[in-house]
Amino acid sequence: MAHEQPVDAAGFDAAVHAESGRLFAVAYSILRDVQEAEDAVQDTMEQAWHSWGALRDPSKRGAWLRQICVRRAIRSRRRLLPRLWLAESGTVQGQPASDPDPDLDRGYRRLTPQQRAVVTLHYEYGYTLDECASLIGCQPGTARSHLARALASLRKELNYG
Amino acid sequence: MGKPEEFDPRLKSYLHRGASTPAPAGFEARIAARARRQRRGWVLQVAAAAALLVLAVGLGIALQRARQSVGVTPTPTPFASPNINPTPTPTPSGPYPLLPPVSLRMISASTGWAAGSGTNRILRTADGGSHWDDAGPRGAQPGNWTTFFLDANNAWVASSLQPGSDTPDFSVHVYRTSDGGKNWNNAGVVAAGQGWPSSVSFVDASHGWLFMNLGGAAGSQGVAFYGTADGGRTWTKLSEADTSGSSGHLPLSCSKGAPVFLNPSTGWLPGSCSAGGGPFFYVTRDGGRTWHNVALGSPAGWGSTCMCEVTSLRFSDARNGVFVLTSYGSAGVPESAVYSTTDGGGSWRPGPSLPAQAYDVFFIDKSHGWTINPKANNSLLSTSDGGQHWSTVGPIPSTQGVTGLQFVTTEIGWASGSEPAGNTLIKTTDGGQTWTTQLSP
Repeated sequence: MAHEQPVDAAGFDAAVHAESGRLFAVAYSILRDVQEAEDAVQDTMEQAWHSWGALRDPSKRGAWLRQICVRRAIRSRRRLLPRLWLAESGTVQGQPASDPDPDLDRGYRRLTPQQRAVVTLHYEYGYTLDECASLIGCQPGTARSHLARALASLRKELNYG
Repeated sequence: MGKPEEFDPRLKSYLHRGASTPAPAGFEARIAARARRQRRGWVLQVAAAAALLVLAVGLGIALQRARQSVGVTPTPTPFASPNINPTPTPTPSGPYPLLPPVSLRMISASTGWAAGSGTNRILRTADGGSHWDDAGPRGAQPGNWTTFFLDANNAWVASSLQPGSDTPDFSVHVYRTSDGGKNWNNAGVVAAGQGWPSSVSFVDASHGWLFMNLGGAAGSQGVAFYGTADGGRTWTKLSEADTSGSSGHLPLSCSKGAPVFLNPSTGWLPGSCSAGGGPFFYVTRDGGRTWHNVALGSPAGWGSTCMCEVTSLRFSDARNGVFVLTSYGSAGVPESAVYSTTDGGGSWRPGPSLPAQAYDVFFIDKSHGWTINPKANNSLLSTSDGGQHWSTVGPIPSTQGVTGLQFVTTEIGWASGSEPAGNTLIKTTDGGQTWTTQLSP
């Protein structure tokens, strides 16, 4: 259901500046790729604009945007063709330095996006698994399954038995 | 082989490094610039879609006239899978209300509530979901809303600025209605020092609990219980997880699920522990002040220690309840069994296994229940013998997954589907064979 709404460009831009850094942190934690994380934040802000009427109150933007960003991140697909604006901007950001724990980094990247999302949200951001389920859009048991499979995979990868 | 106790801190450090990675230079400016461009693009997309729609309608009219002119009788088209009926016009006004987290509580076949906490909206229906009216508190503190709907008239909202706010304000404002959402009052304020409400629940109009998530670390989670005996006006801190190991204390270790209370004194807290820690299942008999581990017998063939968890705890009446115990093997492959009680939780007996890939159940009595296989196109399965046998009913239509499922009779139920722009609300009146969309973005 699309809604015609008055354009509040200044307020929207202020929200972009206030929230995008935190959203990038969440998206990067899941994706471990700067460009994909930036795409996830971009998609999030585009959807935020469409739902701007429900998001004008700053106090409830953070949690809602984080949830949208998580969902965008776990459905991220690396684009086959670069966006037009990439060519326009001429700025393709490099990846950060390699993680000091390459074995764990390799194992983490082999997890599914849903598994990475649950591990990150639960262990780093402190959400309960029920809350993780709501954030990624599944039933609680499914989120628990993602976590269990992820931990089992990482332990095996890192030879923790 | 690494030491098992080193795994969690190592993972925690790795995750923290990822979450601390700064955005690249110029990131915010690029996002803002593209968003502005996207706004113009969106207008063009809508115009193009409208043009296509006009073209399609025109073509349809032309075809229909052509068919009528040669005497062709239209034949009904059977529903293709997934079975879904046309969407009625949603009744709430304003922006789409069911932005997640979304909770659904149908009291009966006619009356129910739906909350879109992402928009701070609460809807209520009195005609089985054909029409939904805004029934939330006006002027309530915006923020993250946690809701509880006791019956057709009594409901509560707990509003917190956390998580997601940079302010040190951890207070929780509780609002209550006792007339089906027509009027709300600011029932009380919980002066919490940290965390956010993970759930709020009541067993009657007076006795309720606020379950606070104080944040987690690898393999552990801080929680606290606050209780009220006057409908939410005053709240008392009852208990908090700690590392003392003392009898009656909740441990900091293990992840906790949502507590379920049966009456003002008795409730359970399910959850899961790290590998080998066994299931997490605690009971209180004094209204949430002290908690004690419940020893669970394992199903035949299961070891005494497992990486396992308790989920889907629910009572269908004062005596009958079920939960699911899921055990994960070393490869993370789950195996689930349904536990049941017929004496109000005095004892729990392991029962039949759940079908593969099914984790959550919803029982309306001790016999009739449903579960979903999310790996098989959100396929709905039902049982009429307490889970001894499960039959595939059909897929529940949703592009991104089903977040909630609830039945009020063996035929009538609702589900919430996750879609990119919000959650749908869909209804079945034939036990899940066909679904009608009641709200969709």
